[in-house]
Amino acid sequence: MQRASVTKTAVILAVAVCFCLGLFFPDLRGVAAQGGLAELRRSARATRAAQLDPTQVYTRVLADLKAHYYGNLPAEIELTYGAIRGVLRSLDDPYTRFLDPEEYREMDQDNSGSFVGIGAVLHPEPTPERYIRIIKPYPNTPAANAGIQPGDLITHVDGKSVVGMTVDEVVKRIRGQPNTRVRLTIKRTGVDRPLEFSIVRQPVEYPVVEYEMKPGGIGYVSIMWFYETTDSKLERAIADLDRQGMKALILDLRDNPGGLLKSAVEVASRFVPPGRVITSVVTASGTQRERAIASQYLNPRWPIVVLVNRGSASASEIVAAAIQDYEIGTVVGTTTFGKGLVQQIVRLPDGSALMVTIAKYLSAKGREINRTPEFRGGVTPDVTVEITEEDYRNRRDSQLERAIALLREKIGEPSPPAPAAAP
Amino acid sequence: MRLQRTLGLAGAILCLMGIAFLSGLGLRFVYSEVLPQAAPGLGDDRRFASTRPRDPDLRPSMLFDEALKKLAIYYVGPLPSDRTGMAYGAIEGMLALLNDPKTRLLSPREWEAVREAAAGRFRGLGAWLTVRKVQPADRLTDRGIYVVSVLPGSAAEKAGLRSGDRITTLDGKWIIDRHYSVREMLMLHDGLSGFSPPREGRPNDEQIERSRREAEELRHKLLNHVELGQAMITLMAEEGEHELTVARAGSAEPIKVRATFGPVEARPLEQRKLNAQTGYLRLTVLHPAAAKAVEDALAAFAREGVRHLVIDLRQSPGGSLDVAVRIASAMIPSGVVVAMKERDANRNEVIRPRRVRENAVKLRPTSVVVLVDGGTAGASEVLAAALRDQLGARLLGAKTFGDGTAEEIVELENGAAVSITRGAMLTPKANAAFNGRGLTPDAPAPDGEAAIQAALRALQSPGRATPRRSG
Repeated sequence: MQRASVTKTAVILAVAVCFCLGLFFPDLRGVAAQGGLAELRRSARATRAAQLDPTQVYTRVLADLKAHYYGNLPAEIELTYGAIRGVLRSLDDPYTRFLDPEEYREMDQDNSGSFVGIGAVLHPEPTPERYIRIIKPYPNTPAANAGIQPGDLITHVDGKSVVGMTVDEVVKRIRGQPNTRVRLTIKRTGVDRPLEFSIVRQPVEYPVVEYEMKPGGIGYVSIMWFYETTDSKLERAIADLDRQGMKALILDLRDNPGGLLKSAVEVASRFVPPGRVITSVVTASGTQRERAIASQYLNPRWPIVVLVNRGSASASEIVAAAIQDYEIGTVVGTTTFGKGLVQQIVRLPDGSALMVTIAKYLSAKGREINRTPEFRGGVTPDVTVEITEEDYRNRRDSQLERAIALLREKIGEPSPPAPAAAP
Repeated sequence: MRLQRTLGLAGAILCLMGIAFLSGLGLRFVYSEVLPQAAPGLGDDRRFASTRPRDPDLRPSMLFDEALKKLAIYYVGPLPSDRTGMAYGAIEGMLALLNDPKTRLLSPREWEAVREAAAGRFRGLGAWLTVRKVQPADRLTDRGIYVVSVLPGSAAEKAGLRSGDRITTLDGKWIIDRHYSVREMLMLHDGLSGFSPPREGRPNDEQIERSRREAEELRHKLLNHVELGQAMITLMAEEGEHELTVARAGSAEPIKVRATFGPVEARPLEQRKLNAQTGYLRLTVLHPAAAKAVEDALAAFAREGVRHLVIDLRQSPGGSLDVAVRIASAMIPSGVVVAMKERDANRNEVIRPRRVRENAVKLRPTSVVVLVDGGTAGASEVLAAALRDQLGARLLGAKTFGDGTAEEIVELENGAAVSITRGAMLTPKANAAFNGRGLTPDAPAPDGEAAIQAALRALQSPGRATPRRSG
């Protein structure tokens, strides 16, 4: 009896020991490594050491900066934002970037279609001398009324140099509360001394669609940006032009940097027959085809010209390529930018966010749009028209003139002897 | 029968033990693999929101981790399997905020070249180089590569390079410190050369022409550039024929030179007697072998009754601060050799003369002249200032380079290093920082060998050996 209980205890003990052995097996392996295996493991580590782990390196360098750096050290969170920016930069994809909480809020505000500021469009990249280039002021905005001109370079905002700032940072400084002032120092080509502008901030609504009837029944619609409201404004513009007896349509997508993919699909669906593929979105996990929405279709009865240039990007390229692929209209201008990548905003827990390239898209018929160092990409126009330096000097919009001439031919109206004036 | 039963029992017990082992191991994995990952869980934003927002230790590092995880999930392509480039990006992203040209990431090859040079073994151009803010300001880059001093017999010497020269191009490529990716360059190119339709308020012809020229020039530079770190590697570690362009203060035109890069050794010490009572020491790189050589030379001088010293620190780029202190200790009896100011005043340090080896004889010179020039830098400036302030030495020559910071080197596992500016060195008497300013000599001196004659004359002139009070 006694012997049986001893055996029982021994079995229970053995089982318990084995359980513990299993539980601590990984540690025991570590202990073993201290001895005979140490050499092997060390050499394994040496081969691995040729590569660095971003998180480890970040933690270590941050600690050393905190311990030793002589100058003023920015706050730890700022250094962390810097580290994240640096990591994204190393991917060599200029569209994948970091937004700190304030930049994220600005971005959010942008998507609502209005903001409080001065109403100037800034070039997305600083110039090589790291100033910020103004592409244009929107009409009837504080910037336009103050005399800001296209091509002006911002060197200082409220006396602070923009050198080293990103465009987002500059936007952040220019925007603010309504009826407050922002002081801009401007370098204007040909003007030696810096110009100072003190401008009152006002609510500005993004102009999204502008239109007018050109002589001879040629409707002209300019789309500046693909927003939630773009499609409904386009519909109203076309309806109004139709009422005025439009015989042909010019869709101007020049310098349109893009916007929402959804908006591009809505706009393209006005012209592309229902069910046709407008664009294919390719992610790591597969391809999704965006098709023309039946309820949107306008069944255009008039000839169409789409105007594009190097500043037409992203959503603009989707629309231009769809119209070209299905031969719905003629694309006129210069080869487009070549941004065939889709970004998504991924929020981070502290209110900052990553803007990550999640997919690339192809044209309606599967053409590659994205530009790489090896491949030009973009949409190549059916009729290439460059604005020459001479046109530039004479302020002639030769691309628009060619579009009008083409459409006149199609609708059977003779071209007038003198070219139409620029808009 | 009984045997069978025992065997069966033993088998059952073994099975039980095995199951116990596996369940133990399993439990361990559940705890070590699943639970720690659950803490910074993917997409679990609320968990973060509930952590205290200003927890200084926890949040930023978790945020960094979270950003990397989200990136790996959402990014269109696979992230590089070798994460070293991303790790470098993280470092450079942090350092970019500091606006300090000397707090830099050094690639493994550059760090190796720097260590070799500090040991007196030079390759490449054969010059001691440093990274400084560009003066005057440049359109493309904040930081540039500057020549501190030129080694005798080096490619740099043959090419006629001088202290303070900025190397602007290497083999026809512009040295730019910012990492411009090819994609960014393409965007820039488009932004600069594309015309938009004419609008109101256009600039006039001349303005168009000028901005076009500027744009073309910038585009050319961007499409033909080499990153600063890469240029440093070539300049410090490679061989063969290379072409450089140099910007020199006082020269309006950039200077183009060709040089054959190769190894050149910095001699630890050149010593001789100028006359019965005067010894001459010429130092280049202050590395441990140099300290020992100086100690031996001073001991020999002491035995031979030398009372005056000429110490030649021209084109001496410094090296080890410790070596400078050792050399100073062989001559300075007491007081301060150099003071170090850090951000945290509690860590400010005052370095006093070291105890010299027991059998060494300390030389107590009655008068000392130190020859300096624009290539006297770093630890060599420390030595010059210590001899001036504590021994009454006269400085003859030209203003020194002005490299007076101390660095903390953080070595990474792959052989790269981060150099962090940790403090400013101060002269002993006036507690003056000389970084960026240099030491102003007491009197000028002619170039070359003639400087040594001038030093001899200065030794005989009155007013020597009077400790100065000013910095």
